Amino acid sequence: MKHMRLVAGILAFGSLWGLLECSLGDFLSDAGLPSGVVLTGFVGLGLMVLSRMLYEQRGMQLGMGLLAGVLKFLHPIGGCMICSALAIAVEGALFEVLWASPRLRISRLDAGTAVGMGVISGFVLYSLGYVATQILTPMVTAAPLSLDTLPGLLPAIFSSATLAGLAGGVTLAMVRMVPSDVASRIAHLKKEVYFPTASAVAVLSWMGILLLP
Amino acid sequence: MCPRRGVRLERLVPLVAACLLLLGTLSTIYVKSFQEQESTEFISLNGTAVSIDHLYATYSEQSLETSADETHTGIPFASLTQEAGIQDPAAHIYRIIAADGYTKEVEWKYLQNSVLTSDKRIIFAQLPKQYWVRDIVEIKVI
Repeated sequence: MKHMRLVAGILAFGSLWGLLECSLGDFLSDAGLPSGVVLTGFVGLGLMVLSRMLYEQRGMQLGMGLLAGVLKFLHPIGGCMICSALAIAVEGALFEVLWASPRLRISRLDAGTAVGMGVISGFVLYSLGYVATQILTPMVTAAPLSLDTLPGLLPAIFSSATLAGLAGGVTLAMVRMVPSDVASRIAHLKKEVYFPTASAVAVLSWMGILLLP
Repeated sequence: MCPRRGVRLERLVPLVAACLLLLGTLSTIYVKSFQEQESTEFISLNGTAVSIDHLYATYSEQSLETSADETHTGIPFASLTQEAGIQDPAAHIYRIIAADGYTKEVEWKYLQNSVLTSDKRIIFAQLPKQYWVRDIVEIKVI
């Protein structure tokens, strides 16, 4: 039963992440906002941190990233989004690496460490996710791989990653404000409530992705 | 052992975070000082400044369908090489540089199926969006 709860959690959080990636990306870009920074520092990291706090289960965020990446790739509008899809999946994997230590239990971290981990997570997820897509996209799409230009891009990547890091710090501070008893109650809801709710979130997210203009 | 490790973690995490923010700040200063170019209505085509208006007045627009079934309209890249007087365009690789320093090097086989849109973005029929450089300021033949 515990595994089923986890799978349902991955479906709900991963689908919600995929929906927000598909719906907010173009909107933020059109509004002149740094969509990559917002989606990584607030949306992706926020959902991963929240789910880690609720379930305290390693590996879950990798599953969420893979699911959100697949949904981004399958999104019928916006076409070939392989770069974004890969970035999301890589972000999930990087989160698992950064938060692998059992001592990094979000509800037990002091404010300074939590915000610091938020900054590190936002910065690393954005910058390494960016670099990974520059390498992986050509490999997946059989496009030419030119690593010569990558070193020249690093200052610009680190520059944008600074904003993602600051966003990550804010995100951790906000998620940490969720009372631990509330988090525990959500994660341990009765199965009669938990599974229908998780399924509804997942299905509504998929419908939203399919119906997005 | 555990309490000592805990103390170390509390010191290490803010220190690493501060170092990353410092790296990012220094990178921002570098980018603003040396990499960013002012975005204008001109594109440098192998050293020659050409205005977008001139390109659109001189050459015919063309529709391009991408592998993702999107249709974009713009000036074919072949017209740009013609404007720049590049002999034997298929023999070169082209470095496309954006105002923010983003750079991609692309072969002619991909560029011959590409268009430059009015908002200075290059769209490729056969390459993913990662290659669709926005706000182009310079195209170099290498």
